[in-house]
Parts: sequence; structure tokens; C-alpha cells
Amino acid sequence: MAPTRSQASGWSADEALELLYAAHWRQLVRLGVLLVHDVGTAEEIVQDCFIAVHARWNRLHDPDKALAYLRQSVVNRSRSHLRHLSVVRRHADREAPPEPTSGADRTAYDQARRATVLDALRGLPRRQREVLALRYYLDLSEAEIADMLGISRGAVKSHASRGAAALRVVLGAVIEETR
Amino acid sequence: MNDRIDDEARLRRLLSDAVSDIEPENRLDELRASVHPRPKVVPMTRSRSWYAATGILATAAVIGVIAYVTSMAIDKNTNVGPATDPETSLHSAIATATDTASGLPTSAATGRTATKAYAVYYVGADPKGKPVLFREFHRGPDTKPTAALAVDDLESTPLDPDYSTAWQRGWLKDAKANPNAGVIFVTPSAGVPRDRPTGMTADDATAAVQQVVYTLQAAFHTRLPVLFVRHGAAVDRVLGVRTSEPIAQGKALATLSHVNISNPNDGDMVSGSLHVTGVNNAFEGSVAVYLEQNGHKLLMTPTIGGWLEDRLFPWQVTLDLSKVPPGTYTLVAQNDDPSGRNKPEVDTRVITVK
Repeated sequence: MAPTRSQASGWSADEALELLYAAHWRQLVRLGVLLVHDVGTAEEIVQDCFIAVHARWNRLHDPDKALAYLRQSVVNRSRSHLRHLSVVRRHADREAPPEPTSGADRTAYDQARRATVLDALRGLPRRQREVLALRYYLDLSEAEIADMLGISRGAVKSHASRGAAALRVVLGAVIEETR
Repeated sequence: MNDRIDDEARLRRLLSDAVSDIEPENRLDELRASVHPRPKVVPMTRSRSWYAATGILATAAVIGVIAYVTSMAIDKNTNVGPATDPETSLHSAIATATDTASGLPTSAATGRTATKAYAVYYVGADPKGKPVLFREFHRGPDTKPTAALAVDDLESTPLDPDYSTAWQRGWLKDAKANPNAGVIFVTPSAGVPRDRPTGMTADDATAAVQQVVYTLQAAFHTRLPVLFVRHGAAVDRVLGVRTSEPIAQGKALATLSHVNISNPNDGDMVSGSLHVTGVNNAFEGSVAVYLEQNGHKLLMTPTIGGWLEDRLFPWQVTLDLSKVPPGTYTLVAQNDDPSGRNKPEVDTRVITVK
């Protein structure tokens, strides 16, 4: 079967999959971890997003937006996962934080700091967590976040401001150490 | 305002750091298998009379054997995923992608050799000694891709001896911009140190990586982040800098010199009216441009670039050299320094007035 090519880009779905994977797999999984707090779940979610992009490749009007589509899918599927989790697994809050991979130079202190930040994020309302992850991890603009989440720029600003303020309270000592 | 910017920078660092040691498992083969599921085995057609003669059970047994044999053949041929080698597949995808994306020159040379200008970023020092990037404009043949010219020069000695480069000849190759993938790909050679070399500070290493980011972004006219790839996978560290994710352009005021001369270049011979251009970010945008020789300042000309935003602003002045005696001079662009500490931000060019 001939590969499906997007007319707009001349790219086949297979080529797009390979390139997008090489460039963004790691970052998207890490974004997923910030949102769902679990590495394995984040990998599953991002893998499903790649499959969805591949399946819809020839219907994407603007293949240049494939990355934005992938990111949006990660946010949406992470949200769906958390909703599902809250219904069927009330004890989710007691789950252990993600287990970092080993590394020779990693200190227990670094691990504790990272776990603290992930825990603090998990404690935020869902929308604030999404906005902060997109704003401060992916470095997206307010306009890009508003577009992705389907909310106004004012709402993005408000969620970012409240989320950051809440993090400052929880992570006060950690933030001070980074000064 | 600075407090807010600092606060945001700290949040950026914290969130990036929180997931920086998470190394997802490689699921590319699973993905390939998911999007190209093993084809269903279609049983051979049989005539109704044959079914009638042998009975349903016998038919099922035959189909079962055919299915088993066929599936073994499929496993043998395709259970490693796509027919092409994974690395080859990615390499060819990257190579193909680039041709449509880079804005590379396509015009053929006509008569004389046409040239074009392109930007290359080198490392210098700010007044505190911190490594920052300075931009030089070079010219090269119009027939050669801009990115190839820029990478060649990135690995060569800059025109201005005040600058330097961390990149050695042959360290970088195959720079390709790909909007579909949302990145610029570049391949570091096996000779590029994974860890920070002795004597190189963390700031030096960060500046070196940003040299590549700024230079390639300028060559491809895009702000896409840069991904270092080798053998089809992201390189996790370059010069000790984490490069497992695409590297975005560093914030302008934290990465670039706050004053930079664009024209002329170091070593230029000039005469008549000298059009000096550059960029800056300084208190009220103030920058002074002058010639200096043996401690004497000539043609001091103030001008305005800009400030209050995280970017550099263009400025330009014209110096009348008609009354300047021939000789070698240092052209200086100096930002205003309201602190009075006498450590202004400067950029210089040594030029010869004919």
C-alpha cells in the first residue's frame, strides 16, 4: 500500500511519525509526567497521541501544526486519564511519585527536590497545572496556551498567576534555593 | 518587573528540572507496529463443490494450516516492523524533509559569482566576564546552502579576534530545518565531547550550544528549536549540556551581548562615509559610536537603539571619514552605563581608513 501523504506537506504519515518521534517523544512524555505524575502512564498517553496523529495525517489541514496537535492531544488525554482515575481509583493521591531512572551523579537531595515539585504540581487544580506546564515547561505563549486549551488569554493569565502563587507557597524553600 | 522575570525563570528551571532525569523507554518499534498492524490472513477461496465434498471440519483444518504457514512467513519477513531499517528510515526522512523546509538558495550562478550575507554567532565576554554571543555577518557564494556556509564559519576563526568559537572543524554536519517536525536537526560528529571538557565552564558550554541554536535559526530564518541527533536518536549531552530535548533559543538579554556592531567587519578598509549599523539594549537605548586611536576618541556620535524588552534593537549612524587621517582605528559601539562603574558594554572593530 502506498504511504499516505499529506497534500499540504508532501510528507507521508510514516515519515512524520519518525520525525516527530525523534524530535519530541522525550519532551512530550515529560510533559505528560508533569500532568499525570506517572512515567508509564505518560508513555502510554503519548504513544496513543502519536498513533492518532499518524491515523489522521492525511486529514491534517496544516501539517506544520502537527506538533501543536500532539501537544494538545497529550493535554486532553492526560485530562481524560485523571478524570477516569478519580472515579475508579480514589487512592490515586497515595501513589508513589514517579521513579526516576538511575544516574551516577544524582543525589538524594536532587531527587527529593524533583519529587517535591511534582507533588506540588499534582496538588494544583487541573487547569492551573496544565497552564503552568505549558507556560513554564514548554515555554508556550499565553496566546498559544489559550488556543490549545480553548480558553481566553485572560483566563490563561489568571490560571498562571494563581498556580504560580500556589506553587510559591508550597515550594517557598525550594524556590529560595534557586535564587 | 525584574522580580517577576526572575520568578518566572525560577519556575521554568524548577519544572524543567523536575522531569529532567526522566528517560522514557523507547517505544518506536511499538509505534511502528501499532500503525502498521500485521495484515490479516485471507484464506484461499475454494469452490462450493469442494466444500460440499470435504465437509466443514476438513475445510477448517486446511485453512488453519494455511493460516499458520502464512503467518510464519509474515513473522519471518515483517515482525521487525517496517521493511526499511529504522535508522535508514529516519535518516531518509530527515534528509527528505529538509529540502522542502530550509529556504535554501536555488538560483543558479549567472556570469559572476553571486554572494549572500549570513549571520554567525561567536562567543565573547560581557563587562563582567560572562560569555555572551556576538553576531558577525559573513558573505559566501549564493550557490551554497546558507546553513552549510554558516556551520563552516561557526567551526572557523571569527573575523574579530575578540571573539572565539567552541566548535572545531567537522564537529557539526547535516543541519536541516523541518517545520513538520518542529525542529532544526543537526548531527554532531563522534568527536564532539559528551561531557564538558576540562577548562570549559558551564556558562561556556551553554554559550557554545546557543552558538549553534542562534546560528542555525538565523540560517533557516526560523525560531524552531535545535535537536542534536546521531544515528536516528537525540544525543543526550553535548559539551556537558543536556540536549535530549530540542534546545530553544536562550533569552536574548541573558545570551547575547547587549551591544553588537553589524557593519563594518573587523579588518575592513573604509573611506568616505562609513555607514555603521548594529543592535543594542541599554538604558534609554543610548549607544555611542566613535573611532579610537592611541587613546584619542574621534567622531563621537550618540544614537538610540532600544530597551525595556527582552531583545536587541537596531541602530545606525554614518561617520564622515573625509577628514580622518588614513590609518588603523578601533571602531567602538558603547552602551550608556548609568551605573557609573565605568564598565560599559562595548563591541569593537579594527578598521583601516584609506
